[in-house]
Amino acid sequence: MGGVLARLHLTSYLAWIINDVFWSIILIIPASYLSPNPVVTLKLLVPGIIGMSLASLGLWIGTEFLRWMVHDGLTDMFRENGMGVYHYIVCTLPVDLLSGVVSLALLGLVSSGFYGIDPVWWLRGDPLLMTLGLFTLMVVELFYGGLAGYLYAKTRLSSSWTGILQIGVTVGTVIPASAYPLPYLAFLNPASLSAELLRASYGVSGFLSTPLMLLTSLLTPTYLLVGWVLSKKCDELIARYGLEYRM
Amino acid sequence: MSIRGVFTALVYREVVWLKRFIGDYVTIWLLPSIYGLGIVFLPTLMSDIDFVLQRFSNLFNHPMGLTDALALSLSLSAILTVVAVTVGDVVQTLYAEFKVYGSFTIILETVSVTAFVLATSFMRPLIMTVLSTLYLIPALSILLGLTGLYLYFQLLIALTLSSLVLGVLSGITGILIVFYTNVKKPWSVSSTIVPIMLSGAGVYIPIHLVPLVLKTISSVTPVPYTVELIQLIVLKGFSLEVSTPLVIIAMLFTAYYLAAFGISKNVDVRVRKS
Repeated sequence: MGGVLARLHLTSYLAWIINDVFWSIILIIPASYLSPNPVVTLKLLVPGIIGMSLASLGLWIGTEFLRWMVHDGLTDMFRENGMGVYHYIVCTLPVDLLSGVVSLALLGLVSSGFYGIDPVWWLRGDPLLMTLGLFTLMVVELFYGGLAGYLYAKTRLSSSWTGILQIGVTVGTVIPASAYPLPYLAFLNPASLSAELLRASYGVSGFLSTPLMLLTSLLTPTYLLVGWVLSKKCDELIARYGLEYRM
Repeated sequence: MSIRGVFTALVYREVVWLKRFIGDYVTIWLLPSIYGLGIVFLPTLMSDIDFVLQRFSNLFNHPMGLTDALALSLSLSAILTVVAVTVGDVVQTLYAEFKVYGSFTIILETVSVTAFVLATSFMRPLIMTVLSTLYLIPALSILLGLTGLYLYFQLLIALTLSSLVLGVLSGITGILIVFYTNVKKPWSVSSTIVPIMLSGAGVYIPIHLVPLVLKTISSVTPVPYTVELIQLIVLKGFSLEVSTPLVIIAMLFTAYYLAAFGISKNVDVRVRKS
């Protein structure tokens, strides 16, 4: 099912990757150029961009399921087969994660062109922390998909509000958790954890690796559980009140 | 229909759309504001604000305090929203009118394809440039007081000229998508070319840092020249120096207008025959 959905959304995936990479370049290249060490700043910002990007993707996929797909009866079709927003996101996860890695690789490649650095600098990190960082991105997407599903089942908001919601995801991602007076509060945003793990793999995180690993083992199941509960609530609300097509 | 009727209809439609898509408008005001602020404050994660201001001053060859740096950064952020909104709006309006809403026959009975494409390429950018840059009014007024308001109107002139060129360029892209390809998701084309154009224009960085491929793509659009124009207006006001980017923008407008006229005329003849 994931393969069919990926083929259906192929153009959207390509547009998302290119869009993501070049919009990020517009922000991170000047920000790193204005700092004392551009390459270190690049390593600080790129993980945040990737974390934010997968969180946004989760929000948009949740939005797609609860808003746009309603029009063609696709949401009903999924629900008639006993599936909800959680299952829909699980189907798309492998391709989404792959797209996230492609975004990271392209971001690394394009940013290297500006500073004349190694095009695969993004691969030169601690393998364990990097793997953890990338895999927790799936949890991030599930969490935000569930959240978007719950919000759009509970309220009458139009899908254009997803654009505003994703601005909130910058907390702890583009602006690192360590920049806040109470850094651990930033982990209320699951994408902060993935971003911080990737930063730690490059040696630029404000957190030590051991407490970060401990946090990962505690927070990852928590985020998964919260995302699952939110999507269950979303399913219950649809079953009770139905779902109206809204743009 | 009288000119007054057309104007009333346009205002009515934009007010209805503003109410209906208020979430989108808030996003297009918030995102560039965050970009503008982020450019100045994100580097402070690695150093203090004085260092960043020093780099900013060196970058633009002009001594700047925090207020000046923020005013310049926010002013430059307007080019992001204007390019994104103009290109997306013109391409998607043309696609929707010709392929989705089924209004193609009505359009052909009333006007030529050329007139419709050129009118869309002019009107949408004019309206959207004003609406998408409204966030600059409070932002620049807070930073610079009444001077900020005056600066906004100067920037609006520069941005409007640029958006007209972008409008015609997007009109050409729109016609090519609608009549010469089988693209079903036009937004994927418009949303892809926008960040490529912008990242090649060196909006906040020296142009020599930009890779040649991106620089070349961007140089055939008005974006790099508008960036130069905004920098000159914010730092030096409307001086004689603005004439160079203005002349280039005017030349691009002429070239794209002639191309849009030719292509849409060709399409008009072709569709009326078939």
